[in-house]
Parts: sequence; C-alpha cells; structure tokens
Amino acid sequence: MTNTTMITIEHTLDGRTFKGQVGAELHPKYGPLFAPEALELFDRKVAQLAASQGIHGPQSFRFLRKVAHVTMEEAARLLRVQRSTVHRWETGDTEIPGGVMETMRALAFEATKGESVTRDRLDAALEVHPSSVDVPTFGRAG
Amino acid sequence: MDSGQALSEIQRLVAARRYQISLHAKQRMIERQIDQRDLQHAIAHAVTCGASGVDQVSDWTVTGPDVGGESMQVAVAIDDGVVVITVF
Repeated sequence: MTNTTMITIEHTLDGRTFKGQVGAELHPKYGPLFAPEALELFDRKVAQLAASQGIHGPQSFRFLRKVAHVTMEEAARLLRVQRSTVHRWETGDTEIPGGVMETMRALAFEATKGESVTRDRLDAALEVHPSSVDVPTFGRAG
Repeated sequence: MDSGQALSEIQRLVAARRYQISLHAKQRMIERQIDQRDLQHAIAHAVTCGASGVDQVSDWTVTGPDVGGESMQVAVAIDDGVVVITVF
C-alpha cells in the first residue's frame, strides 16, 4: 500500500514567501515524491496569488514569465525591448518598469486560467498595419 | 542497461509524464527557478546521459538544454517503470 502525506512547500519570490501543502508519496528510498500535476497546481496557485498581490521584482518576473509560457525572446518581442534587457531585469541589474511588471502579472494570471487577453492584445499591437486604410462611405451626395 | 538505453527509457517515460519529483529536487527547482517545462525540454533534447555520481540515490545524470537554451543537469533514477527526479 502506498503511504501518502502532505508536505509543506515554500516558494519565496523577492522576499515574499508563499507556503502551501502538496500531497506526496512517501518512498522508502527517495523520501517524499510529488506527482507532476500536483506541483503544477501548486505553481499555478502561487502565480495567481503573486500576480493578484502585485508582486514586483526579478525573481517574480522570471517566475511569472515561465508560468505564462513566455520565453525570454518572446518577452522581448512582446514588450518591445532587447533580449538583453529582459535578462538584466531577471538578474536584477536593471529595475523593472512598473508597467512591464503589471503586464507580466496579467500574462501569468491569465495563463493560469487558460485565458490570453493580454497576450492577444500585445500580439495585435505588434502586427504591421498598412499606412493607408479605406473607411466605409456613409451617406450619399446630392 | 547502457547509457543510450537508459536515456531512451527516461525520455519515453518523461514524455508520457510517468515521472515523480523528490522534495529535494523541487526545492532546487524553486531556488534555481527551473520549471517542469525546462525539465521536460532538457530530457527530451538531452545531449549526454551518464552514470550518476551527484547523490546517493540517482542512477543517471542527464544533461540537456532548458526551454531558454541554457544547459542543465538532471539526476534521475528509474524505479518500477517511473522516472524519479532526485536533484538538479
């Protein structure tokens, strides 16, 4: 029979600790073992709490970016900066602008809910628009 | 089982999500900001697999790139048809 228990996991992001219990199998050789689904659920919950509490900082940015399934290259493209800028944000070498952090919180929060409103908006803003656009004609002459 | 056979088996099991993560490995994942997509990517695209000497319980050390292309090492054991991730 499998011996299971609840194990407390702590995830600290920029000085704020998120603590939760995750079910684990107690293995005689390896100790507590987690199913991938259980840890994914824990990470999603941490991301939702972190995003909704307005967390800010390099660790938070990287964690939320990964939860949002956005690579460094994609983050640079979506946020219209160089990849090196994203790297400096994540290493703490450069302060992350408030608006950028807000966007990453939204991307991650929506990703945990299976939504992509912010991602779609950013993608749409990057589309090349023609320099001349025809407006439908209204009314009639004479 | 040689290292090539071990890597094939590890890749097959991880792709089928037949893996478990130890508490120690999860703590290292948090410290190093590695997620499960990185883990799956590194194993799926592994460049080397060798006998492990990094801890007392793992059998193999797999080296491969994470999602961002950074090289990472994963120590694993194969136990009763399941890959156990023991350390990063």
